[in-house]
Amino acid sequence: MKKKSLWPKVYLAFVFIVLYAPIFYLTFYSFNSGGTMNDFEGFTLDWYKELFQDTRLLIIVLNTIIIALLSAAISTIIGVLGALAIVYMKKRAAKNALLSLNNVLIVSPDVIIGASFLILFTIIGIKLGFTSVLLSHVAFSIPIVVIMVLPKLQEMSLSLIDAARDLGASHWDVLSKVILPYISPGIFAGFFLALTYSLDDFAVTFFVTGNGFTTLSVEIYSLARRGISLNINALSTLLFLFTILLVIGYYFITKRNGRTAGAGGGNE
Amino acid sequence: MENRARKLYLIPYVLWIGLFVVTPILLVVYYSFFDLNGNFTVANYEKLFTPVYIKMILSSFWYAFLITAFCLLIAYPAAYFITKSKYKQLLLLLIILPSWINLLLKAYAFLGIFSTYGAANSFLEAVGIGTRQILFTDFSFVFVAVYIFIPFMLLPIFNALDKLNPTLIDASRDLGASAWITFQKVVFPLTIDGVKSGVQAVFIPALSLFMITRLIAGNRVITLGTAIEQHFLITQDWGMGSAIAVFLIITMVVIMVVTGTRKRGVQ
Amino acid sequence: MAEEAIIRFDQVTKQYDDDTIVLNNVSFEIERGKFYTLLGPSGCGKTTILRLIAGFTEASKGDIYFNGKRMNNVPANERQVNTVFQDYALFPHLNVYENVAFGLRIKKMKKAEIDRRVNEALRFVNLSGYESREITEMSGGQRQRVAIARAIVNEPEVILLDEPLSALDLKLRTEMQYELRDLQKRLGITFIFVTHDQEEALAMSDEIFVINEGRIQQSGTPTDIYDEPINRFVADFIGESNIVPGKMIRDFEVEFAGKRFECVDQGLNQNEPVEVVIRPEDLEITTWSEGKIQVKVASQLFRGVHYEMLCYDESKNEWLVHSTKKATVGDEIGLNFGPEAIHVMRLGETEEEFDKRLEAYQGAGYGK
Repeated sequence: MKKKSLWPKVYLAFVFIVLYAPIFYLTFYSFNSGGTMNDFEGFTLDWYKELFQDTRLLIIVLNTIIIALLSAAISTIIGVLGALAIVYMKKRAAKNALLSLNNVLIVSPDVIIGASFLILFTIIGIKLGFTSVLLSHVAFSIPIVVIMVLPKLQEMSLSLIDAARDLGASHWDVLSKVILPYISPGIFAGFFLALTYSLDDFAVTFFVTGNGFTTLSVEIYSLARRGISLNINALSTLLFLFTILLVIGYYFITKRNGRTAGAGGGNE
Repeated sequence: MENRARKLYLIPYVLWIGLFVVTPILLVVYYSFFDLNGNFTVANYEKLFTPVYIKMILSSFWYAFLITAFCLLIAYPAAYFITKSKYKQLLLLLIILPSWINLLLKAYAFLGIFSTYGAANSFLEAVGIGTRQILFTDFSFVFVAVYIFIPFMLLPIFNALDKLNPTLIDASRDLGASAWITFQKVVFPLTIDGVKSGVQAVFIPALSLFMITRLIAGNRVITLGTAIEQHFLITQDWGMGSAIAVFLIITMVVIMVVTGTRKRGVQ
Repeated sequence: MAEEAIIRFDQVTKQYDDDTIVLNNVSFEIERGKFYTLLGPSGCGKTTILRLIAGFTEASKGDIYFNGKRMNNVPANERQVNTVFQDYALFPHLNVYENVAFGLRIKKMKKAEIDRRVNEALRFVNLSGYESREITEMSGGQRQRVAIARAIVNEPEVILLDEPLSALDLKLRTEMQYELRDLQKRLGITFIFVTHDQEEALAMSDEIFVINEGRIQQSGTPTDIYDEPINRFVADFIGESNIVPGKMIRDFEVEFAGKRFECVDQGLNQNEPVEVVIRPEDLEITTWSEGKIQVKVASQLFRGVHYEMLCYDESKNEWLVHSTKKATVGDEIGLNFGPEAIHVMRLGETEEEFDKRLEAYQGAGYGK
């Protein structure tokens, strides 16, 4: 058995190198004074400076963040309500129907979501731009929040609710003092995923955005179609760092939550 | 009283389902029956069965198949080795991390790597094959797509493998099966649900890719996704675009039914 | 009587949507300050009674009174009862102190008062010093006590306990039986305890309700129920029993296993078919010739305190015997018993009829 153990390591190392090489490649050339992604001529921070002087791009970054935060917040609220509605639904058939409908947007390809939303917004007369992008992001984030919150709700023993009622809690007390704190790790995970989905989304936004409004992904696409510009490298390096920070933050927060709430109900 | 509270929870959620899940699908179906001039027609569907479109559909399926197959070939062993590793949580995180980096940036990186004087060609030069045109070929398209989709294939397989009760493997070995037979008869059948979810998570998006086809494949590859985007945003023929979208939705449903997951054995 | 009862069920029926009847026309009264046990197999309806009292579920028919007031439509959070749940239902996101304080905080009690009462409740269950522990850091027995403290801190008139000991191991369970009994005495409030464990019920209760198939089969003190089971179900469920078919010849004489015996039962018809119950510990081993009935020992197990023998008589009746004396498998032995050991059960007699019959001849010198 001992002799075999080299192969898996080599294989995994190879996979990881391939997965990370492009990212480091981008980062590496973001410091290239040469202006291309081929010959590294010398170290420079010019691309970063240029990036921070580009007000148009900074506004786009701001737009992207606003859309992400708003859509994550709204979809978390609606998603949590939806999950509560599904879990406490009495009729099995209705419950299953809601669950299937919930998953439609998760499995649908982005192109179809984008195209159908484009038709929808045109028909109901919503101008393509901030509103349409925000609505779309809220729409495709809701099912993700539901999926993250449902398991927490399902694992929660019903006797906890009985216990709270027994101790004098009103319906609102039960929700705010027992259910929401209990499922908070799920809510948090849902919010975080909604945030990343919104930040990452290209295809849906590409369909439903108008002339005046654009997000980072769409902007990178139009820049990339024009060819290589090391501005984008600098930008992606920053985004990469940002993603890593988010992931680390998420990791620690879920770990902290997991200690108190993740360990399940009173039964051992 | 309790019931009223439940109905209140339901309102925003059901509104969302009605407006953003059911309506868009109905609208796509509805639009697929209209031509450019707003006349009711089935011509869009007839066009789907002309040689041009059939060729496009078949090639889209072929590429999606290739992408899925390569993803599976690479991801299964990787997932298997990760579950066997001491640092499996860390390794899993490392696999997922790139999937959280903006898709566009990853595609963009390959524009540099695959360019005429990029890293890939320098490597080919060094091993004596010489410079090739890599960018804007079907190879680059499949490579980048596989690169992007690997985490989506790996994750469900990892989960299935991780849930596999290790004593089942001991039992199989105890009953005289070799490592390979054990894999064939026990491990693989019990993780088939993970493979199916992985295939779902890769095949359907691969059919509908459109950004990579433009950036990496330079319009050499037309997928169903590219065709939809083309009709909606460039030629403005929403009817034809919707017809293709309906076709894609049907395909998706068929794939989901065929690879429908049944829970068994995995505890 | 009616003023004394803290809880009264009047012809209560509980039926689910799919027509399953879990509780069938049940009436009873619960008096202040006693320890009650609802005893029965799983699915008999005992937990439903508890949930009806707590207000987690609504009766389909009938009335439930608290202190003489009808409480059917009062929601759970407004009832003067508190529950100790089977899985304890402690809030995992709150520590021990906050779990116990939960009900008081809901009532918007002053901080100092909450502090005083939580500390007192924790002292009551011997958990002083554990205030800031997380629930996950507590053992099963400790969780059990937190759950009790959380209930008693609200000073309810009635505490409901839903099989609270079932998750504990045997040793801890016995310990907690003493503790619970002691706690109830100290608090002086009504405990309603649900269990399927007859030993637990016999050991702890002032009063036991034996429940089966949605009906109360028999109610009474532990000794009443043990010594005078009303029917086959109760006799079988409470302790171990030998139940053989017989015939009431006349008052004080019953026939079974092919012989006639003196007994203490009366008020039945002559030659009425009956069932005869004799507890295994009331049977005494003796020699073949000296026994009242003659049996053959089929198997024997050593149970620690006694030997348990399975024997058969000539009419193929099964006799379970608990004896400190040892027998040999295959031996033919005699069994001896006094007239008081025999308990005669009328077929299909309800509790009211049984009580009536007892009353009717109470004056005739019945009693033991």
